[in-house]
Amino acid sequence: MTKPARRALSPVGTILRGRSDRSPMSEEERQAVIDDLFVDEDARGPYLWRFYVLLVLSTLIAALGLVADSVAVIIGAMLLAPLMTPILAVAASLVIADLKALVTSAAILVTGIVLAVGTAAGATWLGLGNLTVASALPAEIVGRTEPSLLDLGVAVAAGVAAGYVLTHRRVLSSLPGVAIAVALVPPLATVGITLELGDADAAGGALLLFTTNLVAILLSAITMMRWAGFAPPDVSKRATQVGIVVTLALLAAIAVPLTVHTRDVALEQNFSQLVGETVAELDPSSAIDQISADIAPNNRATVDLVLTTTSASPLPAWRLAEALATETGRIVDVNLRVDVERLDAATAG
Amino acid sequence: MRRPPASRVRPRHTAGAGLVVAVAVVAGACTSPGGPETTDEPTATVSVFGPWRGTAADAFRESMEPFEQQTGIDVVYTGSGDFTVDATRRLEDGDPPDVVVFPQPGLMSDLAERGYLVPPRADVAGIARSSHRQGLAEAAAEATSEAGILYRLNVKSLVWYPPDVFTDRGYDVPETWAELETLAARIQAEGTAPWCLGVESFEASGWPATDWVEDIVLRSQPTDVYDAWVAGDIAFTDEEIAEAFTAFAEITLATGRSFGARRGILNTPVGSAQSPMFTDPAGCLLHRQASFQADNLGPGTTIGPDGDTDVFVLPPTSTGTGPPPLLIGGTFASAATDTPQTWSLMSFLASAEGSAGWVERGGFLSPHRDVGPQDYPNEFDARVAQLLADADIVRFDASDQMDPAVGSGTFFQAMLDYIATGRLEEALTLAQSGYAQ
Repeated sequence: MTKPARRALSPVGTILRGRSDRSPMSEEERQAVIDDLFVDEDARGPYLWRFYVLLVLSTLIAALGLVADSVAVIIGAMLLAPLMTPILAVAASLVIADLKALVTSAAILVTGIVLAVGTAAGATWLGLGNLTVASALPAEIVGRTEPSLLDLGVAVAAGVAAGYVLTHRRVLSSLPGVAIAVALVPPLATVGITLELGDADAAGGALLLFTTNLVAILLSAITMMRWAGFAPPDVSKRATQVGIVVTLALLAAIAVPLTVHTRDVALEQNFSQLVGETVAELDPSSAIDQISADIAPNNRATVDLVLTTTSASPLPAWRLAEALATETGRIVDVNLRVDVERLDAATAG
Repeated sequence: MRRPPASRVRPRHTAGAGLVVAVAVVAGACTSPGGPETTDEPTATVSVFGPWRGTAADAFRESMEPFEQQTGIDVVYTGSGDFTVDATRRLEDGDPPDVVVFPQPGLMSDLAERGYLVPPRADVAGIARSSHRQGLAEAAAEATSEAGILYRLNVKSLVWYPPDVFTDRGYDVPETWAELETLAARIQAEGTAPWCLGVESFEASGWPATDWVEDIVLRSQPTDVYDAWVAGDIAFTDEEIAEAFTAFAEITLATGRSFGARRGILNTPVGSAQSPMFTDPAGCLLHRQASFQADNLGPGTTIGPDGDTDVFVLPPTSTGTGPPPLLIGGTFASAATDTPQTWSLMSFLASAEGSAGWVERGGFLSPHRDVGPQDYPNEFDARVAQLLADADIVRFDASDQMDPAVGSGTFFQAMLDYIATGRLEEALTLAQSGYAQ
């Protein structure tokens, strides 16, 4: 049996081998992208000044929006945020195998991350923290401390879009949408706010979300740039392949905690539902006002619960703990507050 | 541990102006599950209801593993943060656990008298009698009216302090009452509240203040006065007890004496009263609390002369040469059902083996003769055991032994009123009024 003269490359093979059946980008197109992402040394001062000013402003807006629980304000911050440029510059440096550009872009990115977290923490310390407490964070903040595999999916797709937009300059108008989809500054602002409020677990969750976005964008953007023929013909293929493998390894490293996180969130939601059903069964006259459930390691679970009831003998915490322990096979800790409501004869008429 | 997910808040329904929140009940509880029911034969379980949660509950569960392995009976432990109310209601509602663990013998004997508990079978009482240190089994039997068996001891006359701050400021551990007074005055003069104190404890709020008064009575009066007071033969309104109330107020309630002042004392949960000692700068430097305070310390907090906190014995008021009197507390187990598995567990709890696991883990002072200071896993437990072994005068907590209407009723309320208002006569009359109920 004779082999075909030229074996067709799979898409992945195409990317890894640095070949594309499509026409490579022209030198002008490549230069335009490079001009967008990399700054000449003599223009770096003003660029960095603009970058940091925009970053501080967008972080402040994001922090205010997060504490105010305002989606519109947070989106405003996303559009203003300049972090996408150094991330795409890191991706492009890897594709064109330019070590010097890689170091410069990575340094700008890391200082930007530190500045964003510091700005949000500083704002919280200065007074923003007085508007919220660690025990009752706004939903917009809490949502960013519980990343799941869904977030990874969003980030991968957004990274692909970012790489596509960058290398297909006719669709540049889509860039704001990409910025909103990947949302880099709000997670960093969440890290700063929660750190300053002393909630290290929440800060860790938000940092995981940011890292997820960062790694997914890097991988997707590198892939898209390769696919679009951004790598110049003379670049060492081995260098770009190393870049992709490193990013893939990072992605796998992120996927593990994210998977655990996603499983935990699902477990806790199921457990909260069980608490609701058990309360309804034990005391049908009561209603759940607030519930938070935490499944911890070592087969333990904790429920913080506020109930309202009209019953003269409210549900005791131990009975709920016992029922939940029997049902789940876990050691269950219940912290219960019961507000007993009674009809006021004088005003009820 | 990860933080909990978002609180899901359901908008409160508004059912018209006639609906008002009348009472807010706050409580906590924890329960371990029974064993997996994977075989066709149902697993035998024995349920235990007690006051321990958190670390102490974990320690108890772990120490029951040998029993579960030996007998095949699963122990299901439920701990309540509002034990007095919950235990009483469970028994009164005809929903008894198999075994109840009481931190207050007075409540136990009251419930036994009302027929809710089953007195220990002769063989169980025999195990305790032959295993407990001399005098202890008898004292425990007297304190509980033989309604249960002594399980765990604690020494109450301890003062917790931060050794590093003492070293930095040049303070010495006081050995006499006068030295303690001088030290407290010096700490206050240097801008720190000497005492950490918090008495909030659900329905049992006020008990740390009753311990203070009891310790002062035990130090300032002959033991027969203390015993007569416990028995109700000396009234709260009598001079000996009134003097102890006044001394308590002078030490802890005078301006600048306690962290958070009167309002802080009333609103601070017992378990977190020592926390200000570990802030920088420290909010207070002395905390009179029992050996079980070790359960309340944060993870990683070390106890000892070189640790984060250490203890000294509340000094005697007399200048005698003997060791200071010790106020002790006990945890007692009583049967509430009459089943073979209940008695099997009660026998285990009465034996030294029943607490060996907890002793080994730390934080458990054993009443058993064969458990000596050398058997404890850490220096603190061994030191407390040695204090108890060396003491000439040892008395069980007075309020724990009094009629519950007084001991965990009007005495608690009187202390809360006294802390809030400082009115001595009214507080003494209120405390005594429980005997008329």
